[in-house]
Amino acid sequence: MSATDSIQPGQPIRLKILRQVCPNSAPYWEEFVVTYQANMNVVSALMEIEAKPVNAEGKETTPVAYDAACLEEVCGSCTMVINGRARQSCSTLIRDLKQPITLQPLRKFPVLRDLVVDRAEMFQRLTQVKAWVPIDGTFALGPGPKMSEKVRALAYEFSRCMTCGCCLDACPQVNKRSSFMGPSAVGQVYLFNSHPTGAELAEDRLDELSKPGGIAECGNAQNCEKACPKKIPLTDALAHLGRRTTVHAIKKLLEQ
Amino acid sequence: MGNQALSPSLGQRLARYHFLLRRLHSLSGIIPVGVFLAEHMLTNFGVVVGGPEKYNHDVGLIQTLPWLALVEWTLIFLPLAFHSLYGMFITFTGAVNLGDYRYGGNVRYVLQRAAGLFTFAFVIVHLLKYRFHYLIGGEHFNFLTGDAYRITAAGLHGSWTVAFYAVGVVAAVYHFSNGIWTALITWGVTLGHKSRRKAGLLCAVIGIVLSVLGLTSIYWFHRGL
Amino acid sequence: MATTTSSSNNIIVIGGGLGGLMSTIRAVEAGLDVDLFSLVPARRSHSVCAQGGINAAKNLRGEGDSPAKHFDESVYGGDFLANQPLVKDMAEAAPHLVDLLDRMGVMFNRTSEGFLDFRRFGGTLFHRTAFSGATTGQQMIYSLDEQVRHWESLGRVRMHEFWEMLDLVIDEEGTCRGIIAQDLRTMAIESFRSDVVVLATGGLGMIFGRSTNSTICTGAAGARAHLCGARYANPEFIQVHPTAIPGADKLRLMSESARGEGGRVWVPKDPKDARVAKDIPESARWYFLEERYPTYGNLVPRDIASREIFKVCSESRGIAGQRMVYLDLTHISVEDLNNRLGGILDIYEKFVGEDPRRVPMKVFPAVHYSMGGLWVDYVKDAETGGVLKGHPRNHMTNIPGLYAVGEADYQYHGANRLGANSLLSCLYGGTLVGPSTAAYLTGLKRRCDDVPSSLYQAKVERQKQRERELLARDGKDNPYVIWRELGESMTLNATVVRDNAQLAKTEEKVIELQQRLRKAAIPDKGGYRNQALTFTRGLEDMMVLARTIVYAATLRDECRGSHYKPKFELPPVDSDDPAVHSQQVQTWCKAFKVNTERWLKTTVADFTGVDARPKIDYQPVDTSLIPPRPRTYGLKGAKKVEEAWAKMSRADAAAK
Repeated sequence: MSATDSIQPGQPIRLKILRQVCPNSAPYWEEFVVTYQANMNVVSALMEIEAKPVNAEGKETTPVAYDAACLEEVCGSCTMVINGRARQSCSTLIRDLKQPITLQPLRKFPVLRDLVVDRAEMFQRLTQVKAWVPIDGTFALGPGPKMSEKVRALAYEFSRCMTCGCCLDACPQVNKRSSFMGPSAVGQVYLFNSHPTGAELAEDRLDELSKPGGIAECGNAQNCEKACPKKIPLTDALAHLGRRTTVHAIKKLLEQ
Repeated sequence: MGNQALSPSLGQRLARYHFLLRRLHSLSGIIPVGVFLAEHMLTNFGVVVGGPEKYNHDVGLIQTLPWLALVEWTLIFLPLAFHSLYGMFITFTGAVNLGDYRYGGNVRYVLQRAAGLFTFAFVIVHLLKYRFHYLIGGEHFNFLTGDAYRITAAGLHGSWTVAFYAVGVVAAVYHFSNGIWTALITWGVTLGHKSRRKAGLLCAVIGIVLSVLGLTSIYWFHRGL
Repeated sequence: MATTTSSSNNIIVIGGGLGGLMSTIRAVEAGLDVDLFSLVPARRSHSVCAQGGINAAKNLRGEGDSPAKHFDESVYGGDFLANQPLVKDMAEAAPHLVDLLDRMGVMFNRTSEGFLDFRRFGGTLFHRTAFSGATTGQQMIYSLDEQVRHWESLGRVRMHEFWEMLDLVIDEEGTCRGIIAQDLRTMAIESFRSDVVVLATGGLGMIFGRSTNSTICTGAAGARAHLCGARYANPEFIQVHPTAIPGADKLRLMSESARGEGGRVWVPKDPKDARVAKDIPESARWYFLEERYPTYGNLVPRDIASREIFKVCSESRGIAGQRMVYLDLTHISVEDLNNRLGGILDIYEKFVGEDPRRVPMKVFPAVHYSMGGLWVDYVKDAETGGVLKGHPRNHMTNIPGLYAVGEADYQYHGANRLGANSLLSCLYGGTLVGPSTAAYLTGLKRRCDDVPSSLYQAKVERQKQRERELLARDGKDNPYVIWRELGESMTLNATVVRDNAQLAKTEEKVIELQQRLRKAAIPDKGGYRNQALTFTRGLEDMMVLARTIVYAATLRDECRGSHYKPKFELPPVDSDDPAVHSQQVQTWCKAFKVNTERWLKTTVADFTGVDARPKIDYQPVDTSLIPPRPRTYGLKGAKKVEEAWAKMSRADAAAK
């Protein structure tokens, strides 16, 4: 999808950015032109704007606010909607994008300012599904449970989830009319239920998955897996947990 | 949360069974509704393989089933009503984003809902046309004593009707076959990519076969003798 | 308005990285409640960027590794500048800490039998590094974050994410009593009372402009503590990582684990060789690290590897004469690469557009880690030679009640950190801080609740005043541009190779930038999530540290670990004539002895004013367990030096 493969250093690139001054103000579009540098990514274009906050009309403006930290696609901070799709602005290269490049804040979260959103809900979901291994304490208790490399390798896929929010933006079932927790939280349930000690809380997690907003909200569009920058096999997790939650719910019904 | 109410509200009760209700919805789409759809397509196809005689004979067999009304209401109408009404509610909880995320899965997701909605309209028209025609002031068709073939064929005479029926049948079949595919994920049968791809092929075959059965039957009725 | 806090049981931790999270967990286990402040959600802290692994001498390969060897190699790697009691205990605790992480659910790679797998890293010949693909730091911080989230759900931890510490509250006795912090969304400035503040605020890579660090690693929090009187130690020791991927926004790390798994560094023998890497035959490649260091090869410590790469490139022998060398993994099977290094190879592919499994990577050194940091104390256990556990002074700065941990402090790594020791030192430091703070609170008579709120109010007002003053500036300069200039100057003159004349120029440059920044208009006057304001205020404080780094580097006239001044190298040992050679060896050893006596000292900087040089003192280093020795890493021809030094030390010992 090299939209502008031929772009050369020194050439201008056009950006259209959806801006917003504060949480309850109206959004507006502003255009910018920055100079292309070799291997330039979206976040460096935003850095160029910081160093020269002038819009396409030549008027002085405020630098665009955005979240960023690691710039190498492991922290999950700099997610934004780039040309309609949620992705990391650090690992999205300008040369792969059609111009004008549109930047918008993630659409499933409250906007704080410009491209900055409040993703607190994603972290609350982690608390809700008890995304931790219940250990006795941090004192020396010897090695952890033995695990086969196969199980470990699959679990590792899920432990790379950086709560970036791409899967939520892409999921048609995550929206204001639905309370779906989103694919990432389900992926974390899969991760912790596959850990020998983590599995101690497996039933609690399945309880959460069977509530409104849980796994039954999934509509099988499978956009999550496609949108995930880490290619985490989220559909596999949804399928596995679909099965386990069903068994769990029926068991509970019979035991009532 | 709910520390004030001693007895749970309706919402809380529903919430308790939320998951099972969704599973029931998924299940009802296949058993009995989907199974009935397949059976219906096969019966209709009788006209293609054996002409009006076979069709009338098969319809007659169905019409003489014991407890027919009970069977009809508990195994077809009620599940169908539940599946479609609850399905519409579920559809309402989704938000289409195909413009931005043009993935195959997303296309199928949207089609599934569109097909569901269209099928709902189609089934209502279909029922009013044949089964409950008398409700809108029409004749009370009797498929046992009357000539089932003639009744059916008469209803499929107009070309607009045929077009509507063709789309309706394809929508229903798509909704069913794609529904099997997603149900296999939902229920945790197809756990990996490979199994999903194989199941996808199988469901495509089911969809194509049922569509062919349905469409040729419609054509046969439309064409007449 | 002195807001939040404090039950008598409450401590404040600043920083949600590994050091902060481990301190939090240990403090909670010691019965304290914790208010955790972080610029970003904890799991987005810079610890996520740690790739290669964590060292622990578990000896699961039967190589004869032991914590004692880990201790020795860490001290040797750090050129003996680290206080040894802490390093010793850290090395001994390492196997337990890795077990702990394993119990917490860190998905460490396993062997086919299901045991932890270990790989090689720089500065050792043992397989000592436990790893989780090439995203070990990410996995570790997630596991700790999850434990903290559990405590949070039980009401023992309160998270203040998107809050920045602006200032410390120090009472008239000089004791730390809380912080002033700002909500980076609403920009509200508030005070928080507490008798303990733990700074786990990480590194300062942003001072060097582009580095391998996250954008949040400004060093500003450490600078603010320094401004409040906290002493800053060994600022001149900045680690430059040998292998990073050059980029316009950042120099992305290419983990040492790439070499740990067999990656080889080379350049074409002929820098004008125009062929693509794959077409250059073995015979036309120069594996300069392997050639000069036959024993350690590509896994010499980072300071040495960076210097060698720097030297090759300075002599225009880099790829096509440019400042780049090849890091080659193409001889390793794709399956192994994906399983053990997948994460970083994907990153390279995404950013550079070439598959490192098939094409050798192009890399160059980049600023990576600060060995120096806030000065923190420890109390030695006379019996074990290690640290007296549970003593309130462990990890405490010179300000009572103020602690520092992780990259923000100066301990453990001396003049150069060994790869995969940073995750370890963050964790180990955290395990000390928890009980230390608990012990400190137990012994504390006057509590922060007894401090008049007027002190807090005055501090809040001072920060608000500073903000008004910052926003009122109207000069033409742009703070981001000034920052770039700072970074360029610092990277050019205060990294791998240092020279006093250049350092003097850099100091002048820092002063000039400091002056310009005071007039530079902040391009955003907004009252909500004003990122430019946050950045500019941080930059102003970073300037103070930049000057401290440069000045301390100027004063240290020697070569030690990452600090390298060619003019002060020990005399050469390079003669082919055996007699001359042996004479050179003797001269070298004598010079080494003199230099050790003069310079094997911790640099300690005291803040004297934003426009003044810091006051620099030197403190002795505890080398009671392993006596200093020449750091040769089996350099070709250095064996004679080692033998001569051993003989000389034995003679000295006998004389005593």
